[in-house]
Amino acid sequence: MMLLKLAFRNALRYKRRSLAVGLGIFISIFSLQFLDGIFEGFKKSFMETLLDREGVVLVSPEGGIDPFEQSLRSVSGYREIVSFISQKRKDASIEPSVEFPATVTKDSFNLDLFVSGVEKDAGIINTFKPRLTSGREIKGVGEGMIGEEAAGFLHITEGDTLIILAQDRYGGIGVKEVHIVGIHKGRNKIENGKMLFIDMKTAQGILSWGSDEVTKLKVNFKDYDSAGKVASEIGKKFPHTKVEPYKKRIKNVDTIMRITDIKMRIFVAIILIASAGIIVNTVLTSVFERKKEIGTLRAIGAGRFEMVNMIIGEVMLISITSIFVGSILAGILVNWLSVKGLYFGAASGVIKYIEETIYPAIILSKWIGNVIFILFWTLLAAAYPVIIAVKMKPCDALKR
Amino acid sequence: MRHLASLLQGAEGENMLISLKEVKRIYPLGKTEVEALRGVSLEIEEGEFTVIVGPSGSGKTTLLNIMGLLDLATEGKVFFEGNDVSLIKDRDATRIRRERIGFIFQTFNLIPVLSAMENIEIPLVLKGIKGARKRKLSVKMMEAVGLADVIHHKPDELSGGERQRVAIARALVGKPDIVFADEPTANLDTKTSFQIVELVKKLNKEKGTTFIFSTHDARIVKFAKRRVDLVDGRIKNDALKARIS
Repeated sequence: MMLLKLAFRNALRYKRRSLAVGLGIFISIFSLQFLDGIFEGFKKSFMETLLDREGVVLVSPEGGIDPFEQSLRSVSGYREIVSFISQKRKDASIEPSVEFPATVTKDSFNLDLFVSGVEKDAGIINTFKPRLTSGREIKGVGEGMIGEEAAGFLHITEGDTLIILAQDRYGGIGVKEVHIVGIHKGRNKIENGKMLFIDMKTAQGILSWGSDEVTKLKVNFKDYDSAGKVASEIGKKFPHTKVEPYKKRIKNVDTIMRITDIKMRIFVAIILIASAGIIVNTVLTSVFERKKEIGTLRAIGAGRFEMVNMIIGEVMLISITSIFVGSILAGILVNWLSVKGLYFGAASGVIKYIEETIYPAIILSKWIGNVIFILFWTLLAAAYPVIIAVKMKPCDALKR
Repeated sequence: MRHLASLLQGAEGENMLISLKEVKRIYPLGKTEVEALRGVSLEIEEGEFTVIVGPSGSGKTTLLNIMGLLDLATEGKVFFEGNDVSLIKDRDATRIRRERIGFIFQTFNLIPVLSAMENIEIPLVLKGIKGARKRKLSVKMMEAVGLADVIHHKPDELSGGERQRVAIARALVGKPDIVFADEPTANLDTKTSFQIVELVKKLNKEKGTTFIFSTHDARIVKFAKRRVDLVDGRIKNDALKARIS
């Protein structure tokens, strides 16, 4: 108790030194908690967008979706597949879509866009409903919804008509007129500036596809774990399709996640190393400045263990205070951003599954893990000065 | 609480509290070596009041450090109650210092963040004495050194003499068998030095504690029962005085 009291009073007496150590620990815990919060939000956004766009199970044409030959590859007889899945999984929502690259013109303005033909009551349309900045969602044939940025390029307003040109399945040019009924603000740069939603029948018409042909079928259900089993059953029943559970597609996602995680970890590691440097230096200075105190305590009977306790006690007091303050402040910031959102525009232009605004999240287990990690890290950083202190011979420590 | 019997073996100079046989202490200094002690033999009896006198650099502090188990001799033998402690382990030396030895330093060496009372309590805490008993012993000791009214003062609120009294109280509160004092009056004025010497003399007489001082101070030398003159790391003169103050 006396040594703890001594540690506490020393921490208060040498305020600048305590502040330096505290600041190092504060920066470490704050950046770790904050970046973890952002990463969790990033991951959540990534997963949600991925599942929203491609589903828990994705059914695509045999050989996959080739972006250069999209008009040639389709899943035919999709209604039969829908009915099969509906029988197997009552809770499944299945969304067929026809997707292809196209040139879109209005007057003298042209723009290459990615066209997605969807059913009028598709979930994706419902997702965009609250994001409409003007007009309404698609309800009938020959109607379309376009992102704000793309609309700006083409000088389109609600009620304008666009001409869509794309390569059809015979190598010719499929042309259709689409009436823009809504302009939306997408979740990211791709949805905002490169996508056009139209009704499925018009999309099939442009590609000269039959009404039973689609580019893909997005299947969603809550029980993610059974995705593999469902995919396998669909694959067996419809061998001329490519059926992938999200985990298979997530391999790439996983890589992206890992890279992002590694980048963040490297950043945090640099901060941690810098803070460890501050801790080692400051505590070491403290040990040398208080050589006489250490020597005196050793002379009057304090053992090495007591010395370790005293120095570690002092560092831990500062550490716990800094960790508490750092964690709370980072928590408040992450919590505020989880409501307000964090603009991630540039990255959303590069990674297609990232929303323009992400919402950081706090994961309690990670939060606690970070606190324990920083405590351990501080202990590790203080170890060298402690070793120096306990190895000091009392007579050397007492030297003037 | 005397654990020495279990850790010490051998039995030379059994009647002596401390016994040194041809002790040398050599310090490396770059590529050369400095011989601080060049074969010192000395025996200290219980209850003695010994002063070690010598000029600066004569090896007084080194000798106190070796006798006080703060340092090890490079050569020679050191005995504590007849038991060889020449190569004693740090853990055991710490235990002996805690249980049996007290130290008084020239610069007082009080812990600045603790009050006078708390400084005195440290040896008791290290010995595992807690609560009311700890408080009672330290108050009693504060009274013995005449500091009952400054128990809550921090060292920087005390005069030099008061600080040294606290240091003396800290050295004696654990009831050690022997107290080493390294030039305890060097930083004090004449009047205060006199009071400190009187206090130590009284404690030596009343409690029978063995005192070993290193000093230049003629007043301490006058009061000591035994004077050891140390010159260039060697004992030049070791005289037991007839008159005991």
